[in-house]
Amino acid sequence: MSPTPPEKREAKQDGGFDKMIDQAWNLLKSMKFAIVILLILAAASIFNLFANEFIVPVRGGASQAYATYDQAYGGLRAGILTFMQMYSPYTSWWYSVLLGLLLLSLLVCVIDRGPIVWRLVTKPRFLDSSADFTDVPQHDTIKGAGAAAAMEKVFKRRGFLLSRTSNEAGEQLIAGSRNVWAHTGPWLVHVGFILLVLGGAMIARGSYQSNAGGLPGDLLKPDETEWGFNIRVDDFEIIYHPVQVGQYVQVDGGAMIGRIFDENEDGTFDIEIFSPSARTISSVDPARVENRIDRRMQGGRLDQTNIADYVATLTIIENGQEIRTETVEVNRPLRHNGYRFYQSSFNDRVSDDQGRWMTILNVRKDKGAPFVWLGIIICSFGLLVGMYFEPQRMYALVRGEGKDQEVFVAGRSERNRALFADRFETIVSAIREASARGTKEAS
Amino acid sequence: MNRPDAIFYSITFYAYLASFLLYIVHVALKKEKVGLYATIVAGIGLIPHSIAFGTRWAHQGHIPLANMYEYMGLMSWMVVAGLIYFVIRYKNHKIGVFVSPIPVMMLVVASLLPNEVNRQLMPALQSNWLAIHVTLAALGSGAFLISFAGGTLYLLTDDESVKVGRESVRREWNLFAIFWIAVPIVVAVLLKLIGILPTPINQVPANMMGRLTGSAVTQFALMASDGPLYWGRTAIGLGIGLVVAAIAWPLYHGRIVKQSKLAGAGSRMFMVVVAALLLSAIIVGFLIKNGTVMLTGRSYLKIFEFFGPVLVISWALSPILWFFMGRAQGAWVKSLGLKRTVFEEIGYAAVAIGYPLYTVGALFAGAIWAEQAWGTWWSWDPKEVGALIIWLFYTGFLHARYQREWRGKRAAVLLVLGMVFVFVSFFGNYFFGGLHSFEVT
Repeated sequence: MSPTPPEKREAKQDGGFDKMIDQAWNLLKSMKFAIVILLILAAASIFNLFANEFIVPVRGGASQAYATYDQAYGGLRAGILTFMQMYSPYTSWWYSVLLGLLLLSLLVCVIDRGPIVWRLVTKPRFLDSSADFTDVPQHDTIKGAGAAAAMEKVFKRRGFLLSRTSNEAGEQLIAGSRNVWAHTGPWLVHVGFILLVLGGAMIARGSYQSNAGGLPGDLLKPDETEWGFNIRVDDFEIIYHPVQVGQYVQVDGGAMIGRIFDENEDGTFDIEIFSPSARTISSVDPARVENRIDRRMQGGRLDQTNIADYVATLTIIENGQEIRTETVEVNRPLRHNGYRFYQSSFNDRVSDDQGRWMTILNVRKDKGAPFVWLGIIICSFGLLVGMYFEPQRMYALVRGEGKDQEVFVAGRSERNRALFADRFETIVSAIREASARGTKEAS
Repeated sequence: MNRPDAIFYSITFYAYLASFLLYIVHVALKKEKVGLYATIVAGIGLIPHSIAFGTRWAHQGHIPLANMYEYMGLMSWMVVAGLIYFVIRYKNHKIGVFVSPIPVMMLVVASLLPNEVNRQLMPALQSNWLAIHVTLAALGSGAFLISFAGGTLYLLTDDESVKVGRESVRREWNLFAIFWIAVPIVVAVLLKLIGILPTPINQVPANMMGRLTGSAVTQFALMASDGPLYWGRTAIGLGIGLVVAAIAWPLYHGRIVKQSKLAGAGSRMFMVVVAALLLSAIIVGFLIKNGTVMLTGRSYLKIFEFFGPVLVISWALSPILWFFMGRAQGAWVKSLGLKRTVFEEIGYAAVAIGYPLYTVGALFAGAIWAEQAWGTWWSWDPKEVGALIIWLFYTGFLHARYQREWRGKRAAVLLVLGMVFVFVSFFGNYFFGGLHSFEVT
């Protein structure tokens, strides 16, 4: 039997479980893991995008999946597709696992990076010895009597906040920081995304959704038990765009159906007629043309694209009392007690005695919405801070006094290193100039 | 209907084209002043571009961001604005020679999209969120285009000065033959097998048929017909394959270099295809202008009718360009005197500008608007998934930049791939439909 490798022995002695937890923690917090999971998620999303297009859609829910796939592709493929839940790939177990891993990675990063970010923002960083300065790509040495004073002046003028201390040799150390609070940006983005994903999960698991329809004068529910209030439809109106080029129209009260392809200077239209026979008619008086057409094509109304808006007037009734009346349009839902009522569609096969059709409202209530809002706000703020403000640090070490004074200067930027190299040169030149001026004045 | 913005878009196009040509002269003759003129002309081009945008807005009565033509116009505006920003920031006009062809190409493609002035906005689009969502997404995508230029140039400058001997040249030609013939054929066959290329009309999936109307159905039927047209369409597969090869070769460039000491070959292949596509687009553009090539009137498949010949001509042009570029030994990128780190930084800086815009615009503003209009924050609609994929790629890139092993080349590859998905998502409406296919339906 071959001897157990030393690492394995150590793991057993050291408590395998603790080590496993440590390893898992290190893996989840690593940048490499984040990159890999992001790319796998991207690949999985691409796969799902195409799969949704090419795999036969399943009607009748998950229970019908196997039968549908079996009919289309045969037993083995049907089994695989059903196991992979390809009838709903974005909520499938494997896609959820990937999202879960991303969430876990975000959580671990936020916990792990929190104290580091705090230290980066609050604690000044010094370079302790002149040897440390040479390790920083941007570094230089300025000599002369006024060098230290000039350095501080220039640092301050460039917006660096200065902190001072000294090393064991009694040399003065100076740390300058600018926009270091921007280090919080990426951390806030991660926090924001955790809230977003949590909010999204809550919405996906526990949101209320239903459809309710009614003709003007109808109540949407028999009583107030389900929502705690009721809604009465007062009116429903469809507003059409003005007649114009590109629209499907009917001419002479529906005798001809066609599409306007040009508008003449005198305001008449040239129309390509499809029905009853294909032909073109020119200079049609606008009075003969209507863009409301009560005909259907491929399951929809022919005039669907001519519609400018759908407007329903609704009254909220609570405890038998009328609370308020509001109009609901696309992009303008009615909100009451956490419920939202959207103007979703209409039924033109049912109408009241005034010819008004039935409005259909989509009713929703999401518990996770506040998390989503908070996540969006924090994340947006984090992006603004993290991407548009560049943390920069300057370091200095002052050695000696008078003519023999030496100032070691170094600088570092987290981003745009090539640009910062130029900026550093400018700073050093400014210090040299100020130092030379100071020396002259002193002499 | 007359388009009041057309004249300003024409002026814009010629200004950007002139700027691109001036940048080429600047690089070729090494005249600093010409570079300055090129940047000034690009900057002047932004004026008619902005006026065109404003005129269209005033004429339509709503922000001109309701279709792909208008979106592409704003994206190209962002590319030019970004170009000027980077030229000033890095005090280097040479950047322009790589970035300036992008808006030129975009305006050419945009001119092929339906661009009628549309005063009627469908109910779902009548919201202030349209301006926020689409503007930020377009500006973000424009910035990603600049990062794409940075990423590809980073890959190109991988061309270290390797002396290419006679033996290496022969090997390079062998490799080129593989990437020019074998990869495109494999891709064409694969595309045909999965049914993307010409499909007999009776085999068009039912869900796709529903989306095609009128002339579009005719187009699909034509694609499926036998005869020269059928083979012409099949040749498109070879063109697509060529593009795939152009992307694949630089990605595996390191491995090829290690094995065959052929530094620069992959990058040259990439440049050959980019140049071939540009040249072909110009050729096809002229053929359309003089009426030799006819595009179907209102068909949204017009874009495929344009890119079909472009891809086929690119494929045919590639060996010629390969020969001439081979003679230049690919040293021209190096001769520009731009450091590799500058390309990396431009790639990063452009993402740093575009990423927040895109995240807030495409994802957050989109989600808020969707909640307001449809009652749901996220519907896994193809366009939403497309935006998510783009976001995942660029998030990956930002993380990669902080990881030593992923810096540089791998990060640059992510920039190139990210851009591919910006375009897949952009033109995705034509394939995938969904809630965002306002034009297609």
